[in-house]
Amino acid sequence: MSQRLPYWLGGGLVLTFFVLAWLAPQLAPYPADHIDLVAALRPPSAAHWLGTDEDGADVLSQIIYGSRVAAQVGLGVVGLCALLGVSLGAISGYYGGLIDEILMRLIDVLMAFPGILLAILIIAITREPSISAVILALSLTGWAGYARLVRGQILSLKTRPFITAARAMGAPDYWILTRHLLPNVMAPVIVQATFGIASAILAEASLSFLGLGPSGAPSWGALLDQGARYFLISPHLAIAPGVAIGLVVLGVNLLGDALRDAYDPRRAEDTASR
Amino acid sequence: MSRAGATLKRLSPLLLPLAALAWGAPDQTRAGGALALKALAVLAALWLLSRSPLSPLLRRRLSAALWVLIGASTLVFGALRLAPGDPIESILGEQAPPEARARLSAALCLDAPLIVQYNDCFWDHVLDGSLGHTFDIQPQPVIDQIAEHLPATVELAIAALCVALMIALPLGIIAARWRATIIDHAATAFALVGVAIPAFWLGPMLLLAFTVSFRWLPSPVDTSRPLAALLLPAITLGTALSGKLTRMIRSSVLETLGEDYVLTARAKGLPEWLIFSKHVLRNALIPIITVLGIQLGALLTGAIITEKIFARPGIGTLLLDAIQQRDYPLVQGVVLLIASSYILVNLITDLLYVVIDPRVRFER
Repeated sequence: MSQRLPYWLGGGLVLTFFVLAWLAPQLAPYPADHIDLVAALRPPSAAHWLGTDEDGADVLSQIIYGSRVAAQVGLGVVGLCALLGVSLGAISGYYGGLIDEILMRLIDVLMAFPGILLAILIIAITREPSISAVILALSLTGWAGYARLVRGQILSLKTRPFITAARAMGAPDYWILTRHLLPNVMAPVIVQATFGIASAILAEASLSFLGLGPSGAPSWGALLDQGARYFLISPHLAIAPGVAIGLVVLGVNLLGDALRDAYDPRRAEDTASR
Repeated sequence: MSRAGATLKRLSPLLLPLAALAWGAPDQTRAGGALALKALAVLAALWLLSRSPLSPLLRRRLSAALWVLIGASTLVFGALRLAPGDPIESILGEQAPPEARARLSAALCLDAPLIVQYNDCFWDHVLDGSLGHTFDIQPQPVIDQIAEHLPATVELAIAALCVALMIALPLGIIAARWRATIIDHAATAFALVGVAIPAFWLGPMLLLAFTVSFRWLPSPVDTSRPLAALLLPAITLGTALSGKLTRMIRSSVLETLGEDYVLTARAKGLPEWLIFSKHVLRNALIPIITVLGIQLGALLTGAIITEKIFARPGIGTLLLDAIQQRDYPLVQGVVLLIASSYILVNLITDLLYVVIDPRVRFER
């Protein structure tokens, strides 16, 4: 049981995060647009558990609403990247040839961009981006990793006897791909997607901290950026969103470890790599 | 000769439309021709490379790096032109008079056809080494601005790398040596938390603790003690990397410990420190080098955030200022520089790997 404690912790943190995001209007003690200039920059108290910011808005409520942005971006980026990456990677690996060649060159180029650099470039032009614009910008390079992973898996799977058997029975390509190949590559994709949620949330927070996040949404990164300005008077403003980001990323990563160990128990025995 | 003649004959139906195109669109034709020449130069370089006496692996890596560099540059060009949002409008506002719009769009080289922009305003500026001119009252070559800001960022990235290695090397090795003990669990916990803490949170916290409360370290903008001022930014940037590296070093050492040659060394009765220094670490640290190359890219983008927190003048600050002022040539230049240095570092790591691990040389 104690061996599994980190997994339960991770699952619990992730579950809490999604419940917060889902039920934000019910759970937040104050509405999203509540401000009270008289009660600005108050330290934590019974009325405001995490204090108030420079407009007198309740920090706890803002963080709860901020979880919606994080959840939307995390799931949006991962969903889009996985969809694109899995389908293109599968086609590339299964058919090979010219399509494969072109896609792999494109993926090489996309993966040559470090981190959120390309997203910074794109958002720099798009003034006041919406949440979907941020998701698109972050997905632009993100799908390449999934495509490469799926392609590699398919390349090694397609020479296996059960695929030859399916082909011998006259199964069409789409059937082999969707019924025989894709189900077998889903496990590593799910593991990667889980870690992908963490990096998407961190990336969005980084963009927001740099002032390049979705406009008009209470993103955790933006809260931190605002909080950092009142740092010497009210450190709690910057501490709370940072802890929120850290807990969610930690939870998602623990869950990812758990899923990977479940999928590959041999590896779980002696290493906890990555 | 006759083969060339036959080819020409076969292509002749194409010549008339091409000539008509050149007549109707001389600019595009000239730019297209210049681009074709550049492409020919690249092909020639690749051909020379394939004839060179270098090892096949080296040749493959070099030509791949060349393609990726060209592709990434093209992507930066395309992203700036195709992304939604009108740069002219975002600089001048919606109610700008059309003459001002026309002048600005000429100055930014946005009025020409795409292919002309791609050749004249992009590749020509990349190849003459200036990367274009900043969009300013007194335009400067973008490269000068970059050269001015680059040393601070390189300094920060190297310092962060040192911090990360100083934490991760001992921690990863100890965790693997005393596996499944309390030390191992503590190291793993540190690694997990280190990765999860956002740098933009850690930085202000460190500042609050060490500069504001305890007053142990000078303010980050204090230029009289540069090394002391570098310490907190380096820790901020290096912590996430140290978490990742700790896990990798731990698993790599664990894997090596299971090898037969370690068993042999143990059976010979070698002392533990000799087993580690001579047999385990030499092999376990080889994969870490590749990882370091990849992580350097993360450090470069992380530097943007760290420089903002500590108000350090560097490439990141330059990029953020350029975005703020809508200086598109400068934004393009900085992104191009970061991306290409990342590609080059990865190439160098690849080559280094071949030198360090002789086994790679004989693959395929």
